[in-house]
Amino acid sequence: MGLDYQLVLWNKQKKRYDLVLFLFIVIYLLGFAVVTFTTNANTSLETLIIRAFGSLAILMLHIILMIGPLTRIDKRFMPLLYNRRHFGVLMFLMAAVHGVFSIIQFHTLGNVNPIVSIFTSNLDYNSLTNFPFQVLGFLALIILFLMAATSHDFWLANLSAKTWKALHMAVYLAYTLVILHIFLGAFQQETSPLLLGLVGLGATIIVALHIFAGFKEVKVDQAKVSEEDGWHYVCSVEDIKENRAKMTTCAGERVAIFKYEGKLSAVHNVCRHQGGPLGEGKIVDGCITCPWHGYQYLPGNGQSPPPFTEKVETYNLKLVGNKVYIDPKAHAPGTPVDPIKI
Amino acid sequence: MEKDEFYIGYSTEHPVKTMRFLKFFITILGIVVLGVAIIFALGQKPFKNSTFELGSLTEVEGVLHLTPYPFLRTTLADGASKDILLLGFGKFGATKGLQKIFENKNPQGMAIRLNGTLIYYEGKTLLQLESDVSGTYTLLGKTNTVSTIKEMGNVSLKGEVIDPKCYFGVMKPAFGKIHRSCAIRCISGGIPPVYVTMNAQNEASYYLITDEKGEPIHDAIIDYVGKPSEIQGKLVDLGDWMQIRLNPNTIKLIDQNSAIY
Repeated sequence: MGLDYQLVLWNKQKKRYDLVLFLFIVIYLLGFAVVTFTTNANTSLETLIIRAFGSLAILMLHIILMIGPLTRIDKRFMPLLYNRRHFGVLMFLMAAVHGVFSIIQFHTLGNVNPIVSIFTSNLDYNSLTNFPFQVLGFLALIILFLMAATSHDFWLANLSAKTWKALHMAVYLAYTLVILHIFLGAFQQETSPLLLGLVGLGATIIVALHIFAGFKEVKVDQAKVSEEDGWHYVCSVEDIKENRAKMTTCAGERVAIFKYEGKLSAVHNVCRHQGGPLGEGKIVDGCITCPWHGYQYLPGNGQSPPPFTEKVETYNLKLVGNKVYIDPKAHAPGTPVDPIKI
Repeated sequence: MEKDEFYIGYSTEHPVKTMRFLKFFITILGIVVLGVAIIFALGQKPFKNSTFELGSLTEVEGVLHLTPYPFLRTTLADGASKDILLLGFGKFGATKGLQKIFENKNPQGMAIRLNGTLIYYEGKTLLQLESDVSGTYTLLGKTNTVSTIKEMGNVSLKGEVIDPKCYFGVMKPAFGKIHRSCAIRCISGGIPPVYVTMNAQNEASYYLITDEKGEPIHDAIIDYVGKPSEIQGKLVDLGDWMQIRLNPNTIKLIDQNSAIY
């Protein structure tokens, strides 16, 4: 949570995260270079750079895309998500080295502008095997650039969380373009089963993790809700752990009902920062704390404690015996609602 | 009761079990990262031992010939001759550089000492002229050398159109789909198109491609660059290089893996 913007926000944990990322990058590049020079010494330096950075970017993109569903499946992966932004920006930089070197190598010093050349040198757009695969990589790089350039809370606040999120969901489009770029490009010529198998395995893991994590969420969304006089039954009080929440879906919106200090409060599930699931958060120091980046809200009014200004919708609850009911009509963000006592 | 662990990134205290699990996961991930690097590196096809002497200029002396594409006929120590194909800087042919050297004079048969960057592979040698040729040459006078060619009859070949500058040393790999865009740029920029065939023993043969009259072609052949194809034409022995004279409209693309890689 912050009130002003810094170019890069670091803390101890982020520094550790970045150090590990840096070490992994060094391990990968050195590993690739040493094995290539040892087993295939006639390579050229340009090709080595293009291939090492390109394949590293692919690996990093796969890991980045795995983090989201992994945190849904097991909360112990949550620290990986905390600094995913730096991971994403570094991945773009690796992809940019690959892209820029490829453009210099294949398209500069010619009779056409290099960017125009990417789109016009190979015009077999109507053929799958001959398709100009470099165009796909270029478009993916543009998307990754836009994402990296807006990977900052300044843009998150100024573009609105919804627009920012939509832009960053384009990572799946970028991933699809990258996979097509590889299979319609390098893999048309570099046909080792090792390479095909590895990228195929990566794509399969990504899809499987997303489907598995998705099923868990669909379960919450499709849970049958019984209704009494406009109030939706949620669960019994015992079903909610102390300082934790139970999630339910009202009028198509996910809501989190927290139990704390002998009270119950309900807020909209979506964190205003990056859309994190507040219902998977915890009450810490009296505040609902988002599991993604630790943004906080007061359970009684859905407002971030001063001087912060984020607000989420609040809901009325009622207790009949030990049964918890919710009024599906949301109050405006930040509206105080008295917690119900258990 | 088990502690309800919760991770907050900016907190100075972190849940013990979560961090222990993460250390284990990151160690495994590090091994995976190294493993992927090794697999990607090992999965590459072998590179050719072609050479581009980037950053190193070599002085070559010989007699200029312009047809079918500019080359320098040099005499080796044993008296044999070697034809060095001349290329421009970047993705261009040698024509512009030679025009600058000779202005309105005819360079054909001119003895010259030229500085450029050597490219060589499998007995073929090429020379890249500097981007600014001034000061890179010495004219040694006109000779009466004439090009001798020998017509070898009609042939049918299977192979691939490549750009010789990249193929013989500047890039690796410099054929097939990965390199097609670059080869198109090079050939459309004036670099002579070359046809490569491979026999059953994996021995390559190279042919400078011209039109039926023996004139240079560039744009007319671009649709066939970097794709397996079958060509028919008249074979001409130029000395150190072979030439294939063909009508580009008769080139057939073939739906099979290229034999050259």
